[in-house]
Amino acid sequence: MTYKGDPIAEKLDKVAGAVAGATGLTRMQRRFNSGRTFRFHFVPLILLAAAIAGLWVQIALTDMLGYLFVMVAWMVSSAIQAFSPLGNLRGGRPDEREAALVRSGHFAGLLAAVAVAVLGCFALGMGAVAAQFHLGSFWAPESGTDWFALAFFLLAVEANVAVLAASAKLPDDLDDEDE
Amino acid sequence: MSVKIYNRIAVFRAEAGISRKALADKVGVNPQTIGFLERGDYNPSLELALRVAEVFKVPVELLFSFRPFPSVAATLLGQGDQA
Repeated sequence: MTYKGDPIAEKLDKVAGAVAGATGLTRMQRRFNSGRTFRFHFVPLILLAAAIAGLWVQIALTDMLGYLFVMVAWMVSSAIQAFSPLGNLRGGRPDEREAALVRSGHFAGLLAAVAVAVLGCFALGMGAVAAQFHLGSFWAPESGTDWFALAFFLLAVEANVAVLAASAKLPDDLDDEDE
Repeated sequence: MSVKIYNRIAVFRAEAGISRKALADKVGVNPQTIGFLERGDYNPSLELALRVAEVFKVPVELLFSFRPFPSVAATLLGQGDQA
């Protein structure tokens, strides 16, 4: 609804409406109001790649920067969860379909995180054994930031795989009929 | 893989003249869930199926079935043949 009264304010209001329509803000606002969540496909993959890159920086380059990189990747991952099918834009208690989606999404995320943790432990163990036999020097977590980086990395894996799994399970959008 | 369950919620909803949101509010779910139900993208729990049937005051087997429901036109034509 456009503002009526002052001609300058009316024009500004019309311009703002046109900008909101052109940039998709109106559509997004309608979506928020209806409580429909967003399906994410590429953002979680980018965040996963960022977390992997952060861990690589932590291992290969510098101590603190990699940890910060992984932590930021996890923080952004947690933030987008609220808008994904795992979140609840509508507020209140999730219904049975939404709850099932959250359960299955987090189950997939936890499985992926456990798999990464198990494989990582094997890799670290084999690296330690190889180092004992003087077959080379392999990285192992030592400092506090190393351990924190690993923890945030596993959290980022869980969060992003959960969002990906839940997004894949959410059916296509409905038309806007009577919503 | 779950079995497909057919339903005619949209037909009953149109007949009753209520929106997805109104039906969703009555049964306590997200309007999106009603849309997915109508489209066959989501199989409801027994509790939700019974709640929806209760809103339309019909037995649950009139709303949900393992077999596709005949179209409204086919049903009406069948009744016309019998008359």
